[in-house]
Amino acid sequence: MTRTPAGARTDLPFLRGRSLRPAQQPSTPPVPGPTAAPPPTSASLDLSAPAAATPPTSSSLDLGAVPAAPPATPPGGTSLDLFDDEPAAPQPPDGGTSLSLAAPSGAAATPARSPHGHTRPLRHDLGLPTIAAGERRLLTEHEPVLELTRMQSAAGAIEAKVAVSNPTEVVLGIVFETADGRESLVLPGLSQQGPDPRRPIFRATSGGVAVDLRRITDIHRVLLFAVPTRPSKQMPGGTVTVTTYGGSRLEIPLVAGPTLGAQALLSGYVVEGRLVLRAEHDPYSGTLQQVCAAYGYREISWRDPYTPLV
Amino acid sequence: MAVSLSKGGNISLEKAAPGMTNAVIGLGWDPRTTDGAPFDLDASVLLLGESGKVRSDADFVFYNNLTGDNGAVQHQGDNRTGEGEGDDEQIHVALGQVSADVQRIVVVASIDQADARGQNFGQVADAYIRVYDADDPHNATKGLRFDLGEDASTETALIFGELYRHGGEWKFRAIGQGYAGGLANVITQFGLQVG
Repeated sequence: MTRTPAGARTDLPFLRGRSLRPAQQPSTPPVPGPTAAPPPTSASLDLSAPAAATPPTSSSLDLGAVPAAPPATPPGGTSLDLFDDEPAAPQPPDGGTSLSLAAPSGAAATPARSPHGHTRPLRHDLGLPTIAAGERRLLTEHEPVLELTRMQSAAGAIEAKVAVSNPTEVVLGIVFETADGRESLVLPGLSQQGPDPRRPIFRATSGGVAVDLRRITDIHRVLLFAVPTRPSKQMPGGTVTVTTYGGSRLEIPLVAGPTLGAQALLSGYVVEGRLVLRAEHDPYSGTLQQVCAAYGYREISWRDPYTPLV
Repeated sequence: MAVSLSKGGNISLEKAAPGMTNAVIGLGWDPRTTDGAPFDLDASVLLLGESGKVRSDADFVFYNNLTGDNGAVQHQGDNRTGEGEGDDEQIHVALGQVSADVQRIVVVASIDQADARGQNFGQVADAYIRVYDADDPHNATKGLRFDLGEDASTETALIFGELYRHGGEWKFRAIGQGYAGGLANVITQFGLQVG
């Protein structure tokens, strides 16, 4: 990720639409995002991506219903004894508000200062497509990006699974960078929980991968990738689904064909508490090491091009 | 001596802490010792308008949105374990800077992954909420406190209390109402949807 000296992120334009990376030009100025990293030594990973995502197609952030379990009856019939005639305690809802994260028109103005001298971080309207609860969305090459709201980004977990005819032919993994700069990955059979197995944020099993969003503030960025399990490294065709706590489902095509061992699928960045996801639609595969390096995960040591030292 | 409230009780902040303009809402708890997964309790607040609902999702101040109402409300961050002395989590409120259309500030605590871990507030002891003057924090005669007692059992989220406007001043009400559906259930009561 690229940051200005002041800490402001400059990779959002990249996330919205990445243009073709120039061929081997050492003097090229840094490009924000994963493609800022030069390609690995085997130049097999041209990670050029389709052009910009179209403007948001859905500005509604009504995130749909959450199963409305009734409040537990306070033990012992302890109803609220509100002995004045003032505003009552919680009232039943008559509908949710929109969860628009659009900043007020003056949001980009001078940061507000808290009563204790803290500067309130600016809120930006990322202007990216969003997804409502229960909605299904195919992340196409033309619309590969969306953002989750702060609540979607922080509630429950997101889970990615593979839908192919023979699920044993491919596994999913996640390479990630934590907020404190640690890079690692999870992959079934290798390192199934990370970064701390005692309190994992990322879990990988043969059935898929999951990210515990309760700890979203500990995450900087992630990359979801697929690894074919056949000796031929043939990727089966199918779909990778990513579901949120509210039941939203993103779908990413898994293209059948030969690979070099790993295929990047979906990158994610935490931007001001919001998870911004981008389907990579990367036409090139590579060894796992190459894929990680191509997307800027270079602080990982490797036993061999397919096996990280975790 | 700080005012001690019982469930349902309320008091004017001007009476409990005369001259207070910057309030600190402190919450504390002690998870009972178990041999299972660790407890992770989270404090959050909702800023409600006259309708009893949030104005937007920005009015939900929690671990992934630490400031609200243009910085008038500031969550001081997450304590993952509940261990140690003193407040486990704190929220600062600049009373005079809260928007005029915010009528109530509801304080909630919830247990992360409560269902998955089989945890609830019946396994939490010594839960309390207190309000004191940020500019006079060591004055034991100012402020208020509500000890929630041992009423909770299966609840996975609790509204500890709320600040509310009444007659041109801020008051505090001790609530202690539990919800079985966790934080998601609580916030939907106030017009938010989880995702």
